Amino acid sequence: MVNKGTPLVELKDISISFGGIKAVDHVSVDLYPGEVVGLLGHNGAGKSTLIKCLSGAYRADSGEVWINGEKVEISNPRDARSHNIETIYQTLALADNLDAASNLFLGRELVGPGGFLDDAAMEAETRKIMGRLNPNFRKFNVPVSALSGGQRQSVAIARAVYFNAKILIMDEPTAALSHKEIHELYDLVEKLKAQGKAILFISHKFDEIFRIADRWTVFRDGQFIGTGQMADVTEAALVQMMVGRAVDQIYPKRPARIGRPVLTVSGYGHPTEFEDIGFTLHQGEILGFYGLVGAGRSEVMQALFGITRPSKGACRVGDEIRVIRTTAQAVEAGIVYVPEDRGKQGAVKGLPIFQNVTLPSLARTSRAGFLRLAEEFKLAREYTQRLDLRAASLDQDVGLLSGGNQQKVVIAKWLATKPRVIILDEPTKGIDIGSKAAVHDFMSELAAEGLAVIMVSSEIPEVLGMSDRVIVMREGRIAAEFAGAAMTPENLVRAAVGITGEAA
Amino acid sequence: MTSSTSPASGADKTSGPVARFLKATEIDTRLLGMIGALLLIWIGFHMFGVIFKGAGSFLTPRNLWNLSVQTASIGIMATGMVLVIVTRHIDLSVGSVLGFCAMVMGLFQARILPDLLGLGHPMIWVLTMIVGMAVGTLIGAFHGWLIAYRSIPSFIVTLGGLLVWRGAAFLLARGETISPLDPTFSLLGGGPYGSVGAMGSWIVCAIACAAILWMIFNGRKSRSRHGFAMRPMWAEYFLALLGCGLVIGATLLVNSYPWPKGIVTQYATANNITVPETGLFISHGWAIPVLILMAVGIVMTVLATRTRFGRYVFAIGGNPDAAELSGINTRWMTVKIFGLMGLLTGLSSVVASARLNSATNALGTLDELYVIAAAVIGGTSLAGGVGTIYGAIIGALVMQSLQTGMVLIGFDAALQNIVVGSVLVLAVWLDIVYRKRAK
Repeated sequence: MVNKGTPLVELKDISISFGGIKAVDHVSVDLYPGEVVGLLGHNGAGKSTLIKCLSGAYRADSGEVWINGEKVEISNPRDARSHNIETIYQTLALADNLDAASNLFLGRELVGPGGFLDDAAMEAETRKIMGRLNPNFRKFNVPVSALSGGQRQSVAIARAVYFNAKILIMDEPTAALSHKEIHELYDLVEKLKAQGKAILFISHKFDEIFRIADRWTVFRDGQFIGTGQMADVTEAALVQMMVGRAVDQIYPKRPARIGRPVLTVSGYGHPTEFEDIGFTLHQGEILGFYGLVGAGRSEVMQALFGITRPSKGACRVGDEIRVIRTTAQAVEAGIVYVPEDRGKQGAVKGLPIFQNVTLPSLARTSRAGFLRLAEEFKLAREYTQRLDLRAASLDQDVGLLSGGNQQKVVIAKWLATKPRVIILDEPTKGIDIGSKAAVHDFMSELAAEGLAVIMVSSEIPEVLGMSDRVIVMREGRIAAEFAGAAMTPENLVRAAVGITGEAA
Repeated sequence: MTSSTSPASGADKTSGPVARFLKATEIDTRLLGMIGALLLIWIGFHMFGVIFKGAGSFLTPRNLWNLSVQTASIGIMATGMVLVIVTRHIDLSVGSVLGFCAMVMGLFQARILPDLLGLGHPMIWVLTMIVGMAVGTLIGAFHGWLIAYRSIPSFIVTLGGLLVWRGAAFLLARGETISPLDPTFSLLGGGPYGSVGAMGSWIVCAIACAAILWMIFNGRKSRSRHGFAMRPMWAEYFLALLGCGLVIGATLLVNSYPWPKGIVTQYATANNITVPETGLFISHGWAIPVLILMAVGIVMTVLATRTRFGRYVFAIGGNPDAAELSGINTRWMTVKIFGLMGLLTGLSSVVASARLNSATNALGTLDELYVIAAAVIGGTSLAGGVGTIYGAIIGALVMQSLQTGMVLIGFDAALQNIVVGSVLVLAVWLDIVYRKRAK
C-alpha cells in the first residue's frame, strides 16, 4: 500500500495561533484519493483547528494549502466547497427545523421556472441519493430535529456526496451514534472510499480507527508527531505517541477509606423521569451510576443539584435534611455537578479563567458585596494549579482554551466551593486517552481526600475500574447495586437491559 | 482615529512606540477611539461654523455647558441600559416610564404636597424625588418579574410598557401640563441657579483630583502588595496629570460661562448688589444634573466592575445556562437589573422634568431609542456579555453632540434623524471591525 501520484490535498507547514498560543505549529498533512486517514491526538492537540483551516472556518497564519497539485486560497466555507471539500462536523450543522431535502440543498436550492423553489425535484433527488447511501432512511418530510443521530449524519453525508465532494472531513462522526448506526457509517465510508474519495477521519476511539483508516497521523500539543500505515502500527504505539509517555495503568483507582455517610437519598421520584430512587453515599467513596442512555441517571443527578425538582422523596446531607429546589441551595448544601454538556453549560466564554473559577465562590471572596480581586486570584491559582491547567494566564478568556482545559476550569470552579459531594456526568466522554487518565487520577485523589464522588458513566471499563460501588439504573428505577466481586461486566449489562436472575 | 495603534496584540519589544505607550498606561484603545470620534464631531461642527458662517459656535463654553446638561438625562438611563443589554435583554419602555414618573412627581409636588406641607416647604423636592424613583423602581421590577418569572420576552414586556405607561401618564392629569414645579426641585434640572457656581466647581474639581490621585496611588499599592505587574512610574505620573488636567480644564470651561445679563440683574436686585458699569461676571460652574450624571457613572461603574452583582450580570450575559448552574439566581437578578433600570429612569425623570420646570405627558418620547443607541454606540453588544458604563456615557455624549451640532448649523429635523440613524449603524459596524481585528 504505497501512495502514488499527486496527493489530493497537501497542507504544508501550517501554523495557527490564538491569543499568542500556537494551536497548530508548522504542521504538514497530505491525503490521497481513495484513502482514509485517521487523525489522532489529545483534546487540544490541534486536530479540529487544522481541519477548520481546510474547511474555511479559520485562516492559517502561515503555510500553504495545495489541492490536486495546485496552490489554493481557502478563506471561507464557500472556497472550501468550490474545491470539493465538505466537512461533517462533530455537532452536525443542520437546520433543525427543516426537513432532509431542505437541508441537503441548503444554500444550493433547486429552482423551477420563475425562480420559485422546486420542492418536488429536491425531494426526489434526496430520495434517490438516500436510497443509495442509506436505504433504511424513511423520514423525508419531517424536520431533522426528529431524526436520530445516525439519520442526521446520513443527511449530512448525503449532502457532501450529492454535491460531488472529493474530500470529506469527518470530525468525530460516531460521537452521537448508536452501535448499529456506527456500523452503517463504516459501510458508508467504505463505499465512499471505493468511489475514490479522500477522507480525513478524526476520532478518539481506537477500535474505530483500526477498523476504518488506512493511514494514521498523530498530533500532540499542536505539533505533527508522525504518520504511517495502519497495518504497521500497534494500539500501544499510537497511545505512546499521543501522550508522549507510556500509559501503564489506565485506571489509577486507589484503595479508598470509606467514611461516614454524606448523602442519603430516599424515595426520590419525578412524574416522568424516575421513581423510587434511594441510595447512600459515603465519604471517600466513588459511586458509579451505570445504565443505558435514557435510563434516567442524568435526570436523577439534575434533581439532586436542583436543576429539576423531584416530586417526592427526601435528601439528607451530613446530618441535616435538605430541601434542594435551586442550584444555589445545592451548592450551599455542598453538592456540585459537572454537567455532560460542558460547552453549553460549563464555562462562561468571554469571562477570564479566574472569574469562571470564582463564580460560585464569590460570597467567600468578596466582602459586603464588593469583589476582592486578590482573593479571587489566590483561589483561582490554587485550584487551577491543582488541576494542572495549561493557560498563558488566569486573565485569559476561557473561550480560547481547548475543550479539555475548559473542563478543568469547570471542575476547578466546583472544587473551589469546597463541596462534600461532587457529581461528574460522563466525565470522560469525548476526550482522549491521555486526558481520561488525568481525570481518573484526579477522581481517585479527590476520593482519597474524603470527598464523596458520584460518577455517571456509560463505559463499563471506566465504571468497573473507578467505582467502589455501582448502581445500575433501568427505565428510571434502580435496577441493581453491585460491590466487590459482584462488579462484573456481565452483571452490569444484565441489570441494565433487564435480564432477571442473578449471575455468578 | 486609532488606526495607527493597530498592532494591539502581543505588544512586546517589536511593537511601535504608540503600542508600547498604550500598554504601559493601560489606556483602552476602544476608549481612545470613542473619544477620538467625539473630538472629530466637535471640531467638525465648529469648523463648519468657522468656514460657512464666519464664526464657530460649537466649541464655546456656552454650547459645551448646554451640551453637558442635555446629555445628563439620556446618560443616566444609558448606564442602566448597559446592564440590561449585557444580560441579553432590552428595555423599550424607559421613555414612557420617564414620562409617567414625571407626571407622578409633578402631581405630587404641585398638587398633593403643598396641601399637606404648605407651598414651598423645603422637604417637597426630596419627597418628590423619592416618590419618583420609587415608582420607577417598582415599574422596572414589575417588568423584570414578568420577564423572569412569567417567561415573557423582555422585548414584548417593555414594548407593552412603552404603550401602557405613556397612556397612563396621559390619564393621570388628563393630558394637562403641570407647571411650574417646586422651585428647589427645578434646580435639579440645571440653569443658572441650578449650577454650583465658580467656588462650588473648584471644590468639586479638588475632590475629583484628590480622588484620581488616591485611586492611582492606592491601585499601585495594592498591585505591589499582591505582586501584580505594575505600570512604569512615568505612566502613573502621566495618568495622574492627564486625569487632573482634564478635570481642571473642564472646570475652567464651565466657570468661564457667565450668567446671562437678565439673570444677573434679577439676582443683583434680589440681593441688593449694585451692578458695575462693566457688568457682573457670575460663573455657571458645574450644572447639578451633570454632577448627578457623574455620580451615577461612578456608582454604576463600581457596581458593574467591583461587586458580585456586576460580576453576575456579565456571567449571565456570557452564558446564562452556566451562570444558572453556578448557583446564581438568574431570575431574581433579572428583577434586580430591571428594577435598577427603573430607578435610574426615575432619576432621569427628575432631571428631565426639572429642566423643563414642568411635567408633560409627552416627556421622554423616543428616549428609549436614544438610550439604547447610546449604550450600543458605547460598545455594548446586543449579543450579551459585553459593555461598559463609561462607553454608554460617551455614547450619550456623541448622540447629543450630533443633535446639538446639527441644530447649530441649521440642519432640519428630517436630516438630523438621518444622520443620527446612520451614525448608530456606522458605530456598531466599526465596533465589529475592531473586535474582529483585536482577535
